[in-house]
Amino acid sequence: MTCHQSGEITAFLKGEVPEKELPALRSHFDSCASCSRELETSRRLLESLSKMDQIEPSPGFTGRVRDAFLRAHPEFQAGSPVEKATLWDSIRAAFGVMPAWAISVSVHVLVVGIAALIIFQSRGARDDHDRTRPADSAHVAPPDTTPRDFMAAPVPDPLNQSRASESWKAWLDRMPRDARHAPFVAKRASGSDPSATKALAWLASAQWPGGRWMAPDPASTAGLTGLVLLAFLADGQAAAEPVQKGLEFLRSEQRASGLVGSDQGNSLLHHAIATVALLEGALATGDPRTRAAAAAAIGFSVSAQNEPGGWGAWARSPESDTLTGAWQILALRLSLIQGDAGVLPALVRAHGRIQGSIDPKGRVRGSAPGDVLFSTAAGMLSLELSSPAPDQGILARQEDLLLEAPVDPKDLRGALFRSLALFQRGGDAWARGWTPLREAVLRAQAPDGSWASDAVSEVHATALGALTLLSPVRYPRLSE
Amino acid sequence: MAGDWDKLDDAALISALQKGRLPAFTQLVERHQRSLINFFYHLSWDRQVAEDCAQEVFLRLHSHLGSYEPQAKFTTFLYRIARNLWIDRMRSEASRGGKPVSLEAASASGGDRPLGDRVRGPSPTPVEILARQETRQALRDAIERLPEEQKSVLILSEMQGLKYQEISAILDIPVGTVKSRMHTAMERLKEILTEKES
Repeated sequence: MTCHQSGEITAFLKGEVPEKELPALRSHFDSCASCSRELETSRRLLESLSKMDQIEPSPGFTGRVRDAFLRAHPEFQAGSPVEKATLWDSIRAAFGVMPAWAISVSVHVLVVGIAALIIFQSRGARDDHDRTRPADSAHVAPPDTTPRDFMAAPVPDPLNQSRASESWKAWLDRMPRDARHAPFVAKRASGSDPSATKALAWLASAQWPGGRWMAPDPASTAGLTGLVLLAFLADGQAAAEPVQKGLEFLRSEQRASGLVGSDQGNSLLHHAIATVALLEGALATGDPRTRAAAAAAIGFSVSAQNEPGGWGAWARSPESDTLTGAWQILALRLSLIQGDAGVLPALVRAHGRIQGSIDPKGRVRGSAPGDVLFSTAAGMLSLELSSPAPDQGILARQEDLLLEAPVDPKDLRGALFRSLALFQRGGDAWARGWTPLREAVLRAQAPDGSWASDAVSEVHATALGALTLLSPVRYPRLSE
Repeated sequence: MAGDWDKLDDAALISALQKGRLPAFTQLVERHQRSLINFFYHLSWDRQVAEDCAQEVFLRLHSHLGSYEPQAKFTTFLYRIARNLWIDRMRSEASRGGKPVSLEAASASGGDRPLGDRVRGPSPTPVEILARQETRQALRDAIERLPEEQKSVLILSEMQGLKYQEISAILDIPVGTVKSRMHTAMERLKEILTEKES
C-alpha cells in the first residue's frame, strides 16, 4: 500500500519542499510506517546516485575545441596567448550588469576609497613596526602570503621524541586527577540555560524516525546526529528519549572497523563528532552497548591518525584538518578521563602537530582565508586539551587574538570553539570573552528557539547555538 | 595562459566573446567543460560521445549568443543548448534505425500496478541491493533504462547538482513537473533494481 504523501519524499530529501510545509510533512513521516520505509530507501538511493562516476576531460580537450571553433569561425583571430582582459571587462565582472552610469559612480567611489585605504594602511603598518621594533625579530610573523605552508606538519625529530616520552610520563602522573573529571561530564545538571532548553525542544521536534538528525548531505548525518546529541547531553538529558534513540542510531551506523557513519566526504570529522557523543553518552548513561561502541570508535580514531599526528578527511590522509583534529583530540581526552591510557601516544603526537601548525602570532590557518579566527579557536582548544602543560606563551597570544576579534553572531561554529577555548583558559580571558559572546549568540536566536545560518542547516546551527550557550557547564577546566 | 580572463564572470566573458575575443571563448570552455562532459557522459556512458557532444555545444554557443540574456544564469543557457543537442542526436539515431527513442514516453514498462507495490515483497529491498558491491553498475544500467525525460531530470538534479528551479528553466517545464518526474524516476529506479535482483 502506498501512502499518498510518498510523492513528497524525494522533494523533501532534496530540500525542495517549501519551509512552511515541512513541519506537517515531518510529522506525517514520523507517524506513517510506509513513508518512513520509503524515506530510508530513497535516501540511500540518492546517496548512491550522488556518488556515480564523474570523468575528467581528456588531455588537450580545450585545445581541440578551440581549434574546431577557429575552423568554424575564422573571423576570430587567435590573438596573443597572454592577451589580458580589458579594464572595462574587469570592472563589468566586478559590477555584474549594472548600468554604465552606476558603474562610473561606483568606480569613482572605489578609487577614492582605495586611496584612503592605502594612506591609512601605510600609517598602520608604520605603527605596527614601531610596536614590534623592540622585540626579537624572530617573533615577527612572516608575511601572510605563505600558502598553507605552516599547515605542513612538523617532522618528528629525536628531540621531539624525547619530549614526547616526558609528556607521556606527565600524563600518566595526572591520570588519577583526570579521572575525577568523569563524574562532572556524567552528571550534568539539567535546565541550566532557558534559551538552550528552548533550542533543545526545537531540536527534539526535528529528530527523524530511527533517531537521526538528517543532514542535507547524507554522508554528514552521523556527525550532525552526534552534534545534536552533545547538546542534549550537555544539558544533562541523558535519559531523554531523543538521546536514547540518537545513541541507538549512532551505534547502528558503526562499521566493523569502528568508523561511525559514512566513509564518504569528510568522514573522519563526522566520525570524530559521533565518537565524542558516544563517549559522553557512555559516561552519562552507563549503557554497556554505547561504551563498547565508543571504545571501538576511539580505536578507529587512533588508527586513522596520519603520520604527522593529525587527521584529514579520511583514514591516514596526509592532509591534516584543524577542525577534525580538534574533535578527535576532544574524543581522545574524554577517553583518557575514562581511564583509557592507550590513547596517550596518539594525544602526544596530536599535540606535536597542532603546535607545529601555529604561526608566531598564535594563528592557525584554515582551509579558507576567512577561517583563520575559527581555526585559531579550534587550534587553541586542541592545544589546551592535548597536553598536561601546554605552551602558555602561545595560549596568551591566541587568547588576545580571540578577545580582540569582534563576535560574528552568524559564525556559530566559531562561537562554539571560541567559548570552549576561552572557558578552558579561564580567568580574565573567560571573564572578558564570555558575556559578549553569549549576548551575540542570544541575539541571533529565533523566537522558536532555533538559529538560522547561511553556511549550515537550521538543525546544525541550532545544535551549535545550544552547545555554545552550554559551554560553561560541559566540561571542568581540565588544567585544574 | 589565460591572462586575467579567469577573473571575469560568465556574463563578462560572453560580452567579450560577442566582441570577437577568442580568449573569452577559451575561458568559457575551461570553466564549463567538466560539467558538460559529465552531463553527456551520464546520458550516454561513453566518454567519446560525451566529449564530442560537449565540443559541439561549445561550437553552437556562438550562434546562440543572440538569445542569451545577461540576467539569466549562463549555465542554464549552456544546458539548454546541451539538452537540445541531445534531443537532436536521439532523433537522428532513431531515424537511422538506431536506439529507438520516445521523448514523451511514459514509464517504459511496468503495467498498471502502483510502483510502490512493485518494489516490495519477498525479494531483497532496494536498500539491501544498494549495499552490494555491484551497486554502481546496477544503478548505471537502471538509469539507462529510464525514459529520456525522467533521465534528464535525474541527471541534472543528482549528477549535476542543479536545483529544481534551474532544471525547470533548462527544460522549459514547470517546477511541479520537474518534481513529479524526479519522483517517478526514483520510483522507477527502485523498481528496476528490485526486478534485476529477483
